[in-house]
Formats: sequence, C-alpha cells, structure tokens
Amino acid sequence: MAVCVFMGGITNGFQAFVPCGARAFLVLMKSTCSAGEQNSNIRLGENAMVTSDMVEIRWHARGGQGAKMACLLLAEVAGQEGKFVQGFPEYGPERMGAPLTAYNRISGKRCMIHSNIYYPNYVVVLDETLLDSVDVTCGLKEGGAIIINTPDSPKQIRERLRGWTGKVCTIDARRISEELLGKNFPNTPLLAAVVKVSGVLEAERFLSNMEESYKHKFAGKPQAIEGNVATLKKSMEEVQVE
Amino acid sequence: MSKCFSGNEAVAYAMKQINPDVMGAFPITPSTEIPEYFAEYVANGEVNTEYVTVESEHSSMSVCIAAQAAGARAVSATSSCGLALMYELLYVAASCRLPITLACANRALSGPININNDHSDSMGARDTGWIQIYAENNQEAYDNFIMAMPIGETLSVRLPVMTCMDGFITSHAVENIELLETDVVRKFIGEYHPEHYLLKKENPLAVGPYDISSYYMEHKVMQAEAMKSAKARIREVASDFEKISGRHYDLFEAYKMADAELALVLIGSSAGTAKAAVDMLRDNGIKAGLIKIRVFRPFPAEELALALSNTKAVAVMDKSEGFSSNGGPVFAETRSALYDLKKRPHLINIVYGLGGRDLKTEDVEKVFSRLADIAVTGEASPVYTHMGQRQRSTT
Repeated sequence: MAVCVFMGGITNGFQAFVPCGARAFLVLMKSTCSAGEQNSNIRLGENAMVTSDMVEIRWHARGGQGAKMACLLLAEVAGQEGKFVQGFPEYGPERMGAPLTAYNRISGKRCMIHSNIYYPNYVVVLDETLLDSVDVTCGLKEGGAIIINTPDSPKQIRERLRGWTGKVCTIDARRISEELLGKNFPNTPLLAAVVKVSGVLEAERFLSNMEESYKHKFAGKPQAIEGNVATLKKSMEEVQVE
Repeated sequence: MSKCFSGNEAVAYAMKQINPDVMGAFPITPSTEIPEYFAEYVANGEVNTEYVTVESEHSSMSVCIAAQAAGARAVSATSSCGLALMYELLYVAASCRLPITLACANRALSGPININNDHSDSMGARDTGWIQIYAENNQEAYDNFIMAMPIGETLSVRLPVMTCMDGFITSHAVENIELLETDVVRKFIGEYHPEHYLLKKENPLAVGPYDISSYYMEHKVMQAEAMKSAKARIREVASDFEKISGRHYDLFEAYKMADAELALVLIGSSAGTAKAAVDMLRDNGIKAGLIKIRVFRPFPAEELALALSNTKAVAVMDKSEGFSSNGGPVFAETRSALYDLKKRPHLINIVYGLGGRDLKTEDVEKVFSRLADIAVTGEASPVYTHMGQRQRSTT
C-alpha cells in the first residue's frame, strides 16, 4: 500500500552553512504512491530538476503488448528530429502479461538524469485492466494527460482514475489495430496518440519519419508498411480528449 | 554521425568498427544484445571476426585467452554470474599479459537471483589485474570501448581492459550518440603487433606454464608496475581520442569541484542523476560538486586526493556491498587515498542501488543534506550506511 512519509523540518546543517535562500532546494513533501513505494523511507518531491522544455512520458502495459518497442521507437523518431531523448524499459521478471513500465524523456538538451520517471507529463496505458491494479496516475503532473487504450469514452473511464482531475484521452487501439493490421497490436495506435496529445513532435514529420523507419524495419514484408502508417494516421484522428 | 542507440548497441557497434579477430560469445542478461548484434554483423559479412560460440563464460574467456596468446585481438561481453564464472580466467588473462577487451554490462550477483544493475560483479573482479573503465551513459560506453585497445596493447601496459556500463540503465536505454567514422576508429586502434605470441616461429614460447617461487614474485611485481604505468597511458589515449572526437576524458570527471565544499564520489549512470542534483543545489547557492570515477583500476589515488583536498565533507557512494563490514570498495580506496592529505575532509560511505534499486535526484539531495550537517557539526557517525532500503519493522 501507499506509504506517506514526511521529513521533519530543515536540517541544522543547511541553516548554518548556506544563505537562507539556499534552502529552497528542500522539496515539498507529498504522499508517495506505488511508483515510489519501494523507497518508502525516502521523501519524494515534485522533481523540479527537469528543464521546463522536457517532456516525460511513462508507459504502463503488460509484457507482450509492445510498449517497450513503442517507447524505443518514439525515442528514435524524436532523435531523428534533433531532440535529445531517452527511451528505456523497466525490467523485472520477464513474462507475458506481467505489468511493466517504460519511460521516455524528450528534450532540447541532453538529459543527465538516469532514474525512472516519477512525475511524468504524460501517462500511456496500453491495457485498461491495469487501472485496477496499478496507480497509473501516480505523480502525473497537473496540466499533463493520461492516454488509455479502451473502447470507453474519457468520461466513462475517468471514474476509474482515483480522482485524477486532469486531461483524459482514450483510444480504441484494439479495434483500430485489428481493422488495419489484422491483429491486436496496441502499441502503434498508442504511440500515435501520445504524439498527437503531447505535441512533442510535429505530426506530419512524425508520420514521414515513421514511414521511413517502417521501410527499414519491414524491408522483408513491405505489405506491413502501409497498414502501420494507416494505423498511425487513424489513431491520431480518433484519439478522444476530455 | 548522430544516432540513437542503446548502450549494448553502442558497444556492439564499436566492436564492429574495430573488427576484432576473435569474439568469445556466451550471452547473459543484460549484455546479451552485444553478442546478438555482433552475430548479425558476422552473418552479414560486415566483419570477418571468428565468432566462437561456447558453452559457458569460463570457455568464452578461455577462447579469448587462447586467441590473444596466439597473437590475435579478442573481445567478449558479459555480466554478473557470467563474469563470476570467468573469475579464474580473468587472472590468467591479466597475468599472461594478454590485452583482451571485455565489455561488462554491470548486474547484481546472486543471491537471490536478480537481473538488475549494481556493481557487485565487476567490483568482485577488481583485484584480478584488469584495467577497469566505467561509463556514465551509452556515449561513454562506446568511447571507452574504442579507447580500450590502445591502452591495453601498449608495451608498457599489456593488460586486459574491462569496460563497464550499468546494466539496463545504460545497456538498454536508447539515447543520442555521436559515432565516429569507421576508418577513423580503425586508424585510432591501429594494427595489433604483439612482441611475442604463440604462433611466432622465430621465437616459440609457452604461455601460462607453472611459475616456480624463484620467479613468481618477479612476475607479479612486473604486473603491478604495468598497472601503475597504465595510468599515464590512459590519459595519453584520452588526449588522442579527444583529437578525433572532441570529447574529453580523464581518470575521473570532476564536476563543479573547483570551489566545492560538499562532494560525492561515485561511479556510472548515477553520476548523471547526481549532476542534475548538484546543478540544482548550485542554483541555490550550495557549493556542491561530484567526482565520477571513470578509471577504477588503476585507482587514481593521488589525483583524487588532490581533487578532494579543499572539500569539507565527502560522501562516497558504493553501488556494491563488499561485506567488509567497513564500507564498500570505492569507499575503501577513497579513504585510503585521502590518508596522506594534511587536511582531510570528513568522509562517509553510502551503499545504494543494489539489485536495481533506483537512485532519484531527491536521494542525492538527501545525501548532500547530510554532508551539510557534517560540515558544520564535524560529526560523521555513522560512517558507513545503506540508503533506499525499507526500514525494518520495529513491532
């Protein structure tokens, strides 16, 4: 369960050692949630260290849904556009269906931080059954958005978001994918949706860069290129925002 | 050339550009992708390396030893238990003075079994006689691998080199990277012409025979001298590398240390996270800095002592638990290095990040907060602690 830890005041050391203004670095306290649960003895704070132009994305999925691939693809495509990127999965026991997270940082300058992302701007959920077991909105920044793979509307799904009041986006990735790719690959629609909702990459350039990378990736089966590009386009059109 | 590569792909790509004679290949998480990518280069005919698939890491290192002793360039990659299984052979490689290059994607050692990052694998091999160079990110992993051969193969050194990067955090994270052109890399590496080797018919020799007491000690002293002289060579190679890459390297990186009063000493990807925390503390007027150890073997003791000589309090952060009951390996080295200083800073040791426990910028701030206390009160006790673990229930 979530644990709430508070730190008692500012240490004597800093009071004596630095000008008073310097104490501002001691972060505001916040109750922790699942993302920080394992370090329950350590205070957690809104991470002010990321530059304001940095976009941080956290992916929630189950093993086998392709979240890692989407996360790495996003990093690659953003990198091609001259952005500084990180794309990394969090590994645990490797098995199909197990909940997993993956992360993206996209910025105008190289990011030195190599921790997981606890205060994302965007959260992407590839499997809506995770909403019951994972606190997906944990740390999600005010002004950010959550994007969920579900046939439900944002209004319907909001009830399951543990009081999240910010932007909710939904996309029926399964239907789109089955229609255009003939199989349930939720990662491609969600990749398009997060690009659309976040505006982190310019849509047209994203599509043309993706097409290039598909040409490379599917050199052996060119029929897959068209379907994937169509999936991206349709997903960008269909994502609902509330 | 700008690309986005994971650390594993970066190292595999460096190997491809080098085109070594032999690779001893036995995959283990999280370094598995290195032999995987390399197998693809072999299959595509992009390299003409003899790719030897074996039944264990004991054998992959044996392959490297045999190949290098025969006068070839040999490489391998491993992690965790794989490195542990090579243990005996690591000594053989170093004492036979065979400049093999080994990429280690650092991972925790059993038990319980764990696939995530800490430094207990390579720290366990710190006394095997290998040069050890650690990377903060994919770029450094690539650069360090390219610098390894010119360091290890030099006559005054002739030692194997282990280039380390953090498993998953670096090995599996896709980040931007600047690659050198292959002809530039080839020219930088040069050709390998060992002075002596098994297949040299003018001077047949045995490699690795029994060494009697009348000679063993002399050989060990020579090996120790070689490790000492590696320091100057590492700097020389770094300076040559800067000319072709524009990227500067040294035995360690001193980040905002010029006037630092509170400092960290640490290794690997955590240094990046800690730099972000240092930046923020600096923005708030706190004289924080850090030293990222790049070369752990040979240990840059005098240089480190000098860099820390004007600090007030220092936290050495170890990403492995040495079970010495007296602090981790980086702490032991650092404290020893500082002993000869006339005026020493207060020193504490924090063991963190074991088995993939994440290090956040807030954790680093917390360490600096404690250093600030110590600088004022002079009270550094307890000197050796752990960070990030759950507290044991008192009920």
